[in-house]
Amino acid sequence: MPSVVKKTLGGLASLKLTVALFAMGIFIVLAGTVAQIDKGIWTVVHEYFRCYIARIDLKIFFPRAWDVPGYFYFPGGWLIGAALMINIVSAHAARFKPNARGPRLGLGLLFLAGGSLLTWLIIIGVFTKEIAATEGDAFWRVLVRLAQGGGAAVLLLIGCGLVFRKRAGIVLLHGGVILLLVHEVFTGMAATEGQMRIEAGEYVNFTYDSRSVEFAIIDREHPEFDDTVVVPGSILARVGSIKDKLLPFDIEVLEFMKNSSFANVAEAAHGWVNPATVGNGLVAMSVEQPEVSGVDPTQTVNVPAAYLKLTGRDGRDLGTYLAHLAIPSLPKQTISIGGKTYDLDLRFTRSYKPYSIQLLEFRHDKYIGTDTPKNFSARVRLIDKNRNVDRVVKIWMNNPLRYAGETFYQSSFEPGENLTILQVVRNDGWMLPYLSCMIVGTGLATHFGMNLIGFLRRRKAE
Amino acid sequence: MKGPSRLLPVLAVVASLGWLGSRVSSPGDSVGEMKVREFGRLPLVYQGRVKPFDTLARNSLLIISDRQTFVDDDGNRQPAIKWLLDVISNSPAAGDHKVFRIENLQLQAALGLEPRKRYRYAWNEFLQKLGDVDPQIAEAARKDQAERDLFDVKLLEFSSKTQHYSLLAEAHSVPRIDLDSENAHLQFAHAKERFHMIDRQGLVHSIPPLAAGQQWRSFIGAVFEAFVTPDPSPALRPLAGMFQARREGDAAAFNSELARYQVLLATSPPADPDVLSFEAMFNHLEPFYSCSVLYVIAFLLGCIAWLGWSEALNRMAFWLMVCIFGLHTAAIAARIYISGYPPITNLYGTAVFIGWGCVGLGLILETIYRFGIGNLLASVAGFLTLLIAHFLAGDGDTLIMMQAVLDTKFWLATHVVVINFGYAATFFAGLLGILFIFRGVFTRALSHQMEKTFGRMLYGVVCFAMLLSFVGTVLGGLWADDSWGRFWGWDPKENGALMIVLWNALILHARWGGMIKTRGFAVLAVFGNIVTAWSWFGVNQLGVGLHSYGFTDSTTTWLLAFVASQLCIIVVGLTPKKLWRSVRATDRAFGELRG
Repeated sequence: MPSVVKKTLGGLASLKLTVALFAMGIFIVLAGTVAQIDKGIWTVVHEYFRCYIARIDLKIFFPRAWDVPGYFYFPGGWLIGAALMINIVSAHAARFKPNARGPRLGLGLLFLAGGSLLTWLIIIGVFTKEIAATEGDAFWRVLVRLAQGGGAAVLLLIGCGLVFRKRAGIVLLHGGVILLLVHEVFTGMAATEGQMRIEAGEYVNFTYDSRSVEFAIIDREHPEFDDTVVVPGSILARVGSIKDKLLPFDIEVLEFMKNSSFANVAEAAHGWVNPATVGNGLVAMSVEQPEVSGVDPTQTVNVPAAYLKLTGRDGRDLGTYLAHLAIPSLPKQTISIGGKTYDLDLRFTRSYKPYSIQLLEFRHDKYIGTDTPKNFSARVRLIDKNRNVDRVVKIWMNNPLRYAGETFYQSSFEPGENLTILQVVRNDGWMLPYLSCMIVGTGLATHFGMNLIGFLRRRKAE
Repeated sequence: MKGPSRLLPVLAVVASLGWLGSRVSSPGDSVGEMKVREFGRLPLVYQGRVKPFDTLARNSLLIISDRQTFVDDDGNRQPAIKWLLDVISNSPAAGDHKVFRIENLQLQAALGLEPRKRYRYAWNEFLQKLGDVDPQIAEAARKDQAERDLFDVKLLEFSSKTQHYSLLAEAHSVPRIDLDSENAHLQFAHAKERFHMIDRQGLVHSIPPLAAGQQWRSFIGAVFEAFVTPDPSPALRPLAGMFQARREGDAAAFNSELARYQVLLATSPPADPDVLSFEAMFNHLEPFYSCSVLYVIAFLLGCIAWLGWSEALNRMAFWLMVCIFGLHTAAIAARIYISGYPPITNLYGTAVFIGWGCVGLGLILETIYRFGIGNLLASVAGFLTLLIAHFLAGDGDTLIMMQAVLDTKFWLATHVVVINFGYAATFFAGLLGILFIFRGVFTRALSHQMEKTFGRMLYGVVCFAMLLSFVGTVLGGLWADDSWGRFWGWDPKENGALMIVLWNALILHARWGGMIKTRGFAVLAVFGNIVTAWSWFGVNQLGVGLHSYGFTDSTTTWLLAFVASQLCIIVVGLTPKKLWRSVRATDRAFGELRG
């Protein structure tokens, strides 16, 4: 190896760097924890952990009443994670040379390849059931997953043992740590979350994301399906005119509010001119409110609203509407153009699914004589015509449904209403932590176990 | 070990078992008196859990009086159940028991009370003034938490005590309705309205279901039912009978009603009577109290062992510690048996468990290195954690029912247990570090050989802590994945656990890289105490996330004091080595050798 490469590798592989990175990691985690006093988890995750450089306000480390000014920049979670990854890989390249030859090395590599293959198969879900329903006990289903990881870990350990001998445990556990780092990056980039709100008896085939909205223009003429055009909230937020041949009219966004509250127009301040000329805007108005930060403990979400001036293709003024989230006290807004009637609906962004879920029954049990919830459970029917699935499953606390790569868990309810709100999460790398847990655990246990045995032997000899 | 000193360990075991035995023999109810203790084993449901009256009595008295017993007018210590029985039977004596702890002078003045030793006052002593402080209490309740001064806090504390007291009494009262009077229906409606109001505040349910399809009900709820249904609960009459007998001081009547009720319960038991009796006995034994007393004795033994006669005294301390560890284990097992949950369901449980883990680790170290360090640290850790547990228990029942999200025995038994073992090991490493620093700086006992041994012990314990905290933390993530499809959510408690893992990893890598030797290792291990305390208590103070169990302000103060103390120890540990007494002693020895 040329000496420059060796030197660089030596620097990158240095344990001093490892220790420094750990220290930085601890600091950013601490900062990202105390920052959650003021901000929601999601905001913090993006500002501290899933970023390369974090801007840290000094005030988060002090009682808020002091209001300490100032800030500084610090490596963000992704930068520290990437550096750790480089550090681990270089350390192994520089220090952990294979300690075997000939058939032993070959056999070891074979085991390592087998273990890696098994790991890959587990990650892509070859051993996962299509419907991992909720009947089973948490104990068994988790044990099965951990056993899969354990299998891979044992194969890899044998491989490492043959190739690296005494250092088998160390190599193995760092491999597992890399898997964990990869999982966090993958989750940050690819995982999606949405919600399903289902009233008893109703079928729902879409999830919504309460962090964004869309303006939907729905033509319900066809008996079999609705013809819907949506304008994403991000376009509404730009404020201006929107023209598209799919739209039956042109839209001019007069005002867009990220968060708002409803009020009666009669309560408007003197001199306020109502932009709305038709529809619900004549009786209700939306008043702009400060943005809710991410997900705070009270689980409040932003309530966006917009004033939209609609103009027909022929240039005729169709009026200005207040586009708002559906609330029970206001009727649905519609518009008629050329003999066709369209529903106008500002709603949380939807993604449609190839399956639908019907709520059969929702239960909310409490402990006797208390308000402490004992259990929330939803009995639902899962229908997917494409895959010939039609079955009843129960979803309850700590017992989600896994289907088609998505996890449905009982997330929320509305007091007094017979409905359930399911959180629907998709994370294709979800088996990685199970694998990593077993691989790192096995590696640590092997390494420390060997140390311990050696120590006890020496002590006995003394 | 030779001669009589071999008997010392035996002596330790026999003496501790003998002392424990003396605590087991409970004074039964005396013949001819009311069988109050038997009454204490009857079932009820409060805060969602079936428990004996005895538990309610002790926890209520803890809330009101900070004690599990009270002192009667003759100066005799009496069990809580006697007080509870007087309260719930609405006996006149209830108002005269001096049980309300009011130590704040301003509050005493507001209630027209004279300062007195022990600060315990009777209901009747301040009853007249209750109306006067009501507006002040309402005002304090209206204020934001940050705006409340000490008096406001004390007022609210007092108010919750009186409320608890009145609720206990009202839940077991029979409303007075004069059925012959003209406005009987009005009286009834008023009483019913009052009932609905207090029912919302979470009443004790002392009327058990005695047939299929029935539910636990409050006594007063059953009384109202008796007005409208032809066949009220059969449990109502004997209970009401006992209360009346208590009011009238009629022991014979009380005992015969009690016997009647016991027969009724035996025919269709609403809860396992063995578990109820066991719980009452567990309450009586107060095993954690016994443990803490014995831990102090073991600590003293360990200290004396350093002065001389080391081997024999250390053996004695070791076997004493083994006995206490057995008792500590049995007490945790008893909590599992009573609650039906894995050992840790709340902060109290963590304190008891972390102590247990530390003691276990100390005993393992002691079997490997027999020179008293394991004993000493184990006894310190055992005592301190039980002390913390004692303060955490202040607000009542320590065996709680888990709310839905957390109600999963599998994860409580795996993630929670392993992560707390990780806490225990990290704390234990910190304690070892403290001992190392103190021994080196303040005594001459730290020889080169001893320093090496400390290095090995520290290394072993931190490796163990690393393994447990990593597996425990990842298991927590797997719980989140299994329940919510999200492995890591950067929730404060998760972050706290991650910081412990990273800290242990930092220490180990620093050592592997030769950046630190034994002293540096010890100093970093002491800082590990701060990291662990942050995860254990600190993040709960932030008031965010699913993991926070709620907190009291004094916790923050204690936490800051703890952090300050650890920082002081670190500063001591960082003083130049030539100032350490042990190092000076060795240098001098070397000098003499050479000279």
